[in-house]
Amino acid sequence: MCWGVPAKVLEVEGLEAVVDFGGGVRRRVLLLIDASPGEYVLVHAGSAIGKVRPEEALEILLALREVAETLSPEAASNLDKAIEELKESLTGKMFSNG
Amino acid sequence: MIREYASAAAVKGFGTVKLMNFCGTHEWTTVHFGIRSLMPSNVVLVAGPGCPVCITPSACVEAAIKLALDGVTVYTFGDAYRLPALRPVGGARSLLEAKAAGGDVRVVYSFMDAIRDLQSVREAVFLAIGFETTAPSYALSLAKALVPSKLKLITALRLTPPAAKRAIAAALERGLEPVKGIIAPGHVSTVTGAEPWDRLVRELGLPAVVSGFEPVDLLASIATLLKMILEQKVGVEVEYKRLVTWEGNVAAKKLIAEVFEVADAAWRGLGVIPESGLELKGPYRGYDAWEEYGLPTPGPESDMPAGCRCADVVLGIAKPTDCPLFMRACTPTKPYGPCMVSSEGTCAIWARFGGGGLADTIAEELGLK
Repeated sequence: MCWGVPAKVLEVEGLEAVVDFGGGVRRRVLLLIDASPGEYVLVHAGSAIGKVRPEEALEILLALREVAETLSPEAASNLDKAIEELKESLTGKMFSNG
Repeated sequence: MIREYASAAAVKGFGTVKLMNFCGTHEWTTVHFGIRSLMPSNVVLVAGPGCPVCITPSACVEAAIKLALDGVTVYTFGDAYRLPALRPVGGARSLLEAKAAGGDVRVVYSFMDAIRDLQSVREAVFLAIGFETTAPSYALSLAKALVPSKLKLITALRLTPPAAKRAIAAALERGLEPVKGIIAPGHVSTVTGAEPWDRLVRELGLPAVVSGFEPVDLLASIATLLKMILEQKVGVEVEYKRLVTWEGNVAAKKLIAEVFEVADAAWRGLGVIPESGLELKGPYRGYDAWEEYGLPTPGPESDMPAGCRCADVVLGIAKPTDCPLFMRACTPTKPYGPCMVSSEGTCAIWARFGGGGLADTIAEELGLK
C-alpha cells in the first residue's frame, strides 16, 4: 500500500534505522532520508520515505486507525497501542515544556 | 468552499468536472470517508492507475511461478501472492498456488527482509513490483552493494506520470468526459517531487494538486483544483507540504538513475506505455532475472482474464460496478482479476469499503434496490 506508517527512530546504524511503530512492534528500515533517534519517520514497504512531527504522526495514526478497522482486529489493536503511547509522550512533552 | 467553486464552475459552463486520482490510497480514503457523497453533482472523482500490483504484467507473475516450480526461492510482497497469471504455469495460476505445489515462495514486507533471509537459500529472485515510492529501496540496496549476487530481480517497476497521461488520453479516445484535474499521488511525489507532475500538466494543459491521504487533505486538494480550474490555471500545487517538495528526494532519485534506466514498458491490460518502466542498467544488469533465466519479457499482448474489465477500471474509463463480474464471480475472497486481488485495486477498495452513497450506487447498479 502507499500508506506510510509513522514510527519513531530508536537507533541509526549506517543506512538503516531501528524504528518503533508502537505497541511493541519494532523493525529495521532502510533510510531514504536522514533521520536521528527521537524523530518520527513515515515508513513505506520497509523504507523511511520522509519525516513528520510527532503531532503529525498522531494525526496519521488516527487516520490509519479508521482504515485498520476494516482490515483486521490485530492491525486495529496495534494502532490503538501506538496511538496511546504517542499521546502519552506528547502530553509528557507539553508538561515538561511548562 | 467546494460547493462555492463547483457552482461557479457550473455557472461558467464548465460541465462535469472530472478529477482523477493516481493512487490506491487516495481512492481508499475517497471511498472509506464517503467523499464522493460530499461532492456537488458536477464534480466527479475517478480512480486512475494507482495500483502497482494491478498493472504488473502477467508475464512477471508467470516468470515467478516458473522459477518457484523450478526450485528457485521466490520472494514477493504480500499483495502479489494471490495475483492471478493469465496462463497457468505447471498448473499454478499464482504464487500461492506455486507454493501449494511445492515451490519455495516467501512473502516479505520489504526488499531488505528478503536480503536478510538468504542464509539458507541457494538461489533466489524477488518479484520487484512498485512505483516510484518503492524504487528507491531497490536502488539503494543495489547501489550500496547490500544485495548478494544469488538474489536476482524480476523487475516490474513502473512510473506513474506516463500512466496518468495514458489514462487521460483514454477518456478522450472513448469520447468520455475529459479529465479536468489531477489529484497527484502523495508518496510517489515524496520521491519524485512535484516537478514531473508540473511537466506533465503543462504538456496536457491541466491543473494538478499533490495531495495527502487524510480526508481533510483530499477535500482541500479538491477545493484547490476547482479554484485552479475556474482560474484556468495550468501547473501543480502541493497540498501535502509536510512531505513533498518541488525537487523531491534528490538523493533517492540519484540512486534510481544510477541503478536503473527508463524504458518502454508493458502494463497489464494496457499494452506498452513509452518510457514508463525501469530496467536495471550497466553493472546492475547482473541482477536481472529476465536475462539470467532467459525468461520471456512482457509485451503488448493482452493479458487480462476473459470477461474482466480491470484494464478499463485501471484507466478510469469504467467503474468496478461496470464490470459484470464485480461482486458476482469476482469478490475479495474469490478474486478473478488483479484489481480485486490487490488491496490498492479499485475493485477491492469498492468491494470492502463501500460507504457514503457509494453503497447505494453499487446496490442500484447490481439491481439490489
